[in-house]
Amino acid sequence: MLWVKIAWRNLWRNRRRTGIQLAVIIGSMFLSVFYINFADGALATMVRAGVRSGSGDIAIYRQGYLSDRRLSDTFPAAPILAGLARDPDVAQVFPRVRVPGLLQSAYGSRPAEAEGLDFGREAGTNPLLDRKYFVAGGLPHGPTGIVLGQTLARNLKVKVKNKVVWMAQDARGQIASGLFRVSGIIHTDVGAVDAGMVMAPREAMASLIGRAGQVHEIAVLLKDPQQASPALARLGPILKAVPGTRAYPWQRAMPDLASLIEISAAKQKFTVFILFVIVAIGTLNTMLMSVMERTREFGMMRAIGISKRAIRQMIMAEALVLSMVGAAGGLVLAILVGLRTSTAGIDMSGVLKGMDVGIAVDPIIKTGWDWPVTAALFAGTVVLCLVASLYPVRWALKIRPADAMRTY
Amino acid sequence: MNAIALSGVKKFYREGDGIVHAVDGVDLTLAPGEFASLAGPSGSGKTTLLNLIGGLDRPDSGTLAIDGVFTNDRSDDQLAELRLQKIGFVFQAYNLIPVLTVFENVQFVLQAQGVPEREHSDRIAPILAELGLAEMAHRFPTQLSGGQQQRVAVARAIVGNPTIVLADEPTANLDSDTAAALLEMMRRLNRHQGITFLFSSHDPMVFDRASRVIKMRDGKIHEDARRD
Repeated sequence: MLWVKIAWRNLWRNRRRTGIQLAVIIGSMFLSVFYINFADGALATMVRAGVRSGSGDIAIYRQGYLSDRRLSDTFPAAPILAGLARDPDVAQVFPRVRVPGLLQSAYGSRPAEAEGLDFGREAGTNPLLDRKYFVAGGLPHGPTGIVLGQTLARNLKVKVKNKVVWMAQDARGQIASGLFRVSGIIHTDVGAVDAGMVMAPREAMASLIGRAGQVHEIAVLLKDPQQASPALARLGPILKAVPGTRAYPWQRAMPDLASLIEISAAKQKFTVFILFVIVAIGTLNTMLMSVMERTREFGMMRAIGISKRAIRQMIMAEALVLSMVGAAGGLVLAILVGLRTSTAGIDMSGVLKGMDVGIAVDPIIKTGWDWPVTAALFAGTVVLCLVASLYPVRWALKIRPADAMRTY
Repeated sequence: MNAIALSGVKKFYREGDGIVHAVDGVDLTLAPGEFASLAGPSGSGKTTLLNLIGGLDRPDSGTLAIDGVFTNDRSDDQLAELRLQKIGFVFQAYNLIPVLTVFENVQFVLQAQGVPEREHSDRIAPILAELGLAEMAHRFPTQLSGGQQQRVAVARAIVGNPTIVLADEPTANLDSDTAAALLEMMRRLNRHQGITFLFSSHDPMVFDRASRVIKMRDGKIHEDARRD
């Protein structure tokens, strides 16, 4: 107990130095935890938006479609939808048709990709259908209504209620076309969506390519996205109803998004590593200065017979107290801030404006709580400070009492 | 058995291109309960000899025994343990730990010796009372005068029940009244507890009270005067 008392009081011998180092540890711990939680929240938001507007937590395709994107790789949706309806872990299913083609107006034409979807089924879940993205009109109610991106609409000089023609190849390679009417125009800040996306009723698109009742994709949203692996395993018997179909996790179905998440995770680790390096250097400096200032004192301790082990314990107790207080302070601060940001969120619209992440993401980012990582950061900070104190310990143990008394 | 026994002890230092014979073939024995002082001009080897006896330095040759224990071939940690159990140190500059109170500075030694904490107060309180420090137990060193700090250093030196106390210029920073009082107090401890005291000093007051004055010159014992 006396060692801890000495450690605590020694730390406050130079209040400014200890205060600065504590601030560094508190700041680093806060930034690490907050940054991880923020990044978790942001990535979770991106994944949520990605899977809802894209492949779902699990995507079902005809084998080969993911790599080749052949228009003819459709499959009948009804048997699989019926099977999925019986799975208690499935929250929603979105059958879709994807048709690349040309959208023509009276003014001109532009290449685009039409996504045939069930507006009624996806409204309220698919972020692209969110009311806040509509700059004009709304969701279509009839079989010919379509929704365009704002840039595409501008390029074609079309407005809501204007007529457009969708031209594409059908599944047999013949030219097919259909007349549609613009029901809504969206602006998402995602270039590919705003300039090249058309959302149309699924059945109309499927019929247009000659594959009525068939789909290219069934996006499956699970009640608990963490249960994707067991859910995937359970899909096997359901998929047997339509031979040649296969289920994929979203990471396989949307590799670009998966890569983005991986890169972001790597960035997180690197940032935390830099913060840890700062803490390690700061602690090493603080402890070394503190030990060097006390050369005579350590010399006296060795002289009166204090063992090297006890001196090591004393210095490491200082590092332990410093790191525990600092890490706890940073953690408390991160929790206090996190309590607010995890519920109210942080409005990142200013940052996200003009930033194309390839997905229509809600700019209000709610931070997450990654407790295992937070605990690891806390333990990591403490261990790091202890490791950083090893050199000062070594320095102190090299002090020869006679020299210390003579010189210092 | 002698409290201290040195035979042919030598210690050299390199200084520039030359070698300084700090201690040059010293033979010395101190019986238990002696109150002796090393005397001599600066550079005569008093402090080096004291450091050798205390195991803070190692001799280049010769043998050295403390309370019958030969120290030459002991490791640093074994020497530290020997000092902790058998030797008390009093330094010229007091060398108290500034972040600890008077009580805690003394307790520090008991803690290092592994004495159970419940015994600390019983061991420390009588010593502080004996040295007139009972009222100052919870003060920090910076709140004490030089004499008071040196008394704390004495308390720290004797709390572990050492057989020997080595005191390097203990009165050098004290006024004559305080120095006299401190020496009387040490003499009392010597008589009552049988602790062997060995001083290194320039102070005539120390020599007046010492039962034996060992004069050194150029690293050698020049004169060894006993007083009964």
